[in-house]
Amino acid sequence: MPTTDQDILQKYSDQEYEFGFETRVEMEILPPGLNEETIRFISAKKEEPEWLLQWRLKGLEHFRRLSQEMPEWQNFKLPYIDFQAISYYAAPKKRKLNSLDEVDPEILATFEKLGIPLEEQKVLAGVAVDAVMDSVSVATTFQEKLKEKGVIFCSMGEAVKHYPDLVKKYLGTVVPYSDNVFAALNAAVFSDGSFCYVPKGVRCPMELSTYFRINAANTGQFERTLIIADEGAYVSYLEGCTAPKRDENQLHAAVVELIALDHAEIKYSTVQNWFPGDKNGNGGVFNFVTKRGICKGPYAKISWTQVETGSAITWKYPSVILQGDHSVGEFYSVAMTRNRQIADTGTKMIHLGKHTRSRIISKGISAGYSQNSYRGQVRVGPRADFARNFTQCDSLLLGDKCGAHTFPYIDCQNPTAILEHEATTSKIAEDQIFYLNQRGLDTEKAVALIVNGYAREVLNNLPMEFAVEAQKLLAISLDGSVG
Amino acid sequence: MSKSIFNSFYQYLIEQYEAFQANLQGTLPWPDALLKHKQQAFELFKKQGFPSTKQEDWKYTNLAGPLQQIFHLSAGNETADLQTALKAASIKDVQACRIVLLNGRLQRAYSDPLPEGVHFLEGAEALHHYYAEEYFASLADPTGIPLVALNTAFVPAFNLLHIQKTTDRPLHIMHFYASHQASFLPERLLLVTEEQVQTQIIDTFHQLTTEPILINYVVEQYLKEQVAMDIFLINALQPNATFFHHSETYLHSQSTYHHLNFSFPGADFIRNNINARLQGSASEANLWGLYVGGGHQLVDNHTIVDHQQPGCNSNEWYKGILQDKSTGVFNGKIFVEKGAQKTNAFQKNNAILLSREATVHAKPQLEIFADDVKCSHGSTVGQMNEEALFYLRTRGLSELTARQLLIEAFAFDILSKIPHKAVAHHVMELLRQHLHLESSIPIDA
Repeated sequence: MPTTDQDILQKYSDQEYEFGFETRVEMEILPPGLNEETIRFISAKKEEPEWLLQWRLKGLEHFRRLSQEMPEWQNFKLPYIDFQAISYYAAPKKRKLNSLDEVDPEILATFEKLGIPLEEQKVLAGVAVDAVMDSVSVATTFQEKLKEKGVIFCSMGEAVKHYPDLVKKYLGTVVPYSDNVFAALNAAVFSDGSFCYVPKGVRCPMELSTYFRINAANTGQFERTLIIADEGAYVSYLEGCTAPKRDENQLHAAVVELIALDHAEIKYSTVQNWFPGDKNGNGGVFNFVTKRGICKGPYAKISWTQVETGSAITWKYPSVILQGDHSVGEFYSVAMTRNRQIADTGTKMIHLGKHTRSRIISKGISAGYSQNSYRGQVRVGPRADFARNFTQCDSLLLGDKCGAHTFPYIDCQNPTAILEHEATTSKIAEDQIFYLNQRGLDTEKAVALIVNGYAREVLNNLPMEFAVEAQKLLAISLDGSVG
Repeated sequence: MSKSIFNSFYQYLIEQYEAFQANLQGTLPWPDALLKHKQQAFELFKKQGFPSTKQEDWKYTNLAGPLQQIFHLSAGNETADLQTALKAASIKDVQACRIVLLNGRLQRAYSDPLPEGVHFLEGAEALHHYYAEEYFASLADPTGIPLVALNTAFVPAFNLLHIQKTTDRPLHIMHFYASHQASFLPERLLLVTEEQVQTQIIDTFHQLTTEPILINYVVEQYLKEQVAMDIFLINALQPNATFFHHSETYLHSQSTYHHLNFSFPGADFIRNNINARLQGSASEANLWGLYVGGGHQLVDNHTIVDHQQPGCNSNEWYKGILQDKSTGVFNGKIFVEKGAQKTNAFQKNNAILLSREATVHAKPQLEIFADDVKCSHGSTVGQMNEEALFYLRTRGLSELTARQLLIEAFAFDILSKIPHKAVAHHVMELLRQHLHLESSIPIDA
């Protein structure tokens, strides 16, 4: 058993990526490249209406403009991305599935390895999985039960076909195609994703869940998720990500839009474990995602919870626009980086309505040579009387080669607002370890206990199914250093 | 929108530079080593122009407004009768040794004789001092800081304050500004304190003109081992002044540096960059600040505490009171560099908004590359506590008195850091003078 810090760090940083396997399914892949033709091809392939094609083309237009000058404000050097070298469409060839049994057994095996209860679901019940593998929704379960309640939960592709009015009404209203370069790219080429609509007054009877998985080499994943909770509705949505091991960097530029109307509540939970690259920083996923929710009506609530342990670079800011009076935004995050990983993540809380409240709890853990940044903005507009924010962002450093950074922006234009921000950075105190040693825990277990306790506030906000997995992920990530 | 502003004032400066330099070579020639810095700084400024809000450090501070007119390069020959002004500007009971500057030039006739071991050098004496070559433009690096580049390029001369012995009374540097037209007034100080010196310096700024002036005051400070230095910066300039101050301080081992920064309503635009570089182990930097905003004023404080060596401490606390249509900006950076273990770095920032139209932007920032550290920052924005007010009212205080008491209590955290009683009293007076709480009362639901 490693005893010195050095051993612990060594073992820990040598940890291999557990989910690095590849499913060999026949794929239909578009040759690399991005132009109008690509978009027309995707749109035609998916049998989309004309308005959506036009919308995509506008996205391309903005992408071309925005990609002239790539952003530089982030706390890392953006690696050069050759957008023309990426293939924008990949789908498993076999389609037209009527039941789970028809799904390619290899795909099912993949999910099984990941521990998604797609098969066990029938027994476990309570989780409807819309499994997305490289862009096309492969299997959707529990449709029937949801249908009874009037909840629409399907792939984006199906939603465009069956509920075009809803999609047209809300698509791009929270994250417009001109938002940023990656959102524009997503708008142009988004392949699939999940769509969810919870009608008035309905409390979604189960946790909705999708699993995203990047499979084929050189395909970016550009899914788009749109969740709408109508007046008084409630939905809890889980998103999990793992990607097989690859040497080349893969781009993941998703967009998530949440819309909560009067008195509605959306809870969105993410466990992200994309391939982080090897210990020298080769390969790994670029996770450049735009996530934003809007509390449109009074007393609406949106809550983001994320556990980020993977990706070579994680760069995202799940945000909430608090438009309705008395609406609430929450952000709970654990970001763990090691080896050469980079995380630049945080949130934006934009207070527009009166009596709006937001709460931000961010816990960063950095190890190895990694750089972990929290970047967040709390903005209070002139009309947001009695807005309230509390922010806490803590960083834990394991090792002396890593970095922890905080960049909070606090902008207040209203004298009745109360905003609080606090941040700390430290390592695990010797005396805490000593105390636990004294109680018979070895150093590894002691560190595990402390880290777990450190992240507890966030993990507690995850739904049961995820909390277990997240804890396991953290443990795996800390393996060697803490056991 | 571009990252830089190339306005007519910029054009004016670029056009005037050669003539300005030629004139300077005729009257006060700079040694080649320093001239090189000047030339480089000019090239930098020429390339960068003035920063626009697209630059992170200027995100909330828009220079386009204050710099829309042309501030003329001063011929450097203004004179003024400082006798009355001096009397008004002196701080009561402080018994300081006054060093009087007019547009950055020493006025010996009005200044007090310097204590033993303190040298204030100007003109050629400063230019040819051995410290000039060593430190000028190398402590405050103009790269990336356009207004330091501007100062380095256009400052006609600089002053060198060399402190070799502990001073038993504070040095009061009184900066007077006179001008008969809209003027650009660059000013620069190089301050070197020798080992084991203890000293206190008060900086105050006074306007003798109603013409618009742009003050660009850059200070480079070098603290050798075991120095203890306190700086009190008190800014109560009048409207029509645009004030840019950059202070770059290097600390050697076991040195202690207190910087207290006070600003009050008056100058339309105030931007302070207060940087402390902890270059020696076991050194300590404390940055305290209190700013009161009023009118259309913009007060922007940017600070950097850079922990380069192990075992250093830093504390920072900035408090702001914003009235009327004023805007407050606070940006505090703490860097803990690789190897700077056993660092303690704390930062706090509180702001009170007293008016509907007041705005505050705060960005407390930590960048940490060492693990054995204790760092934290806290930041709040709010207003007077209604319960505290109510409590005071129940004790028979009027609304106004209660508010006054609460604001003074808010300011007390910073005022109590002033180790000099007379200075503390002076700042308190300024605070009372510039608060107008009666207009801030009605903020109702």
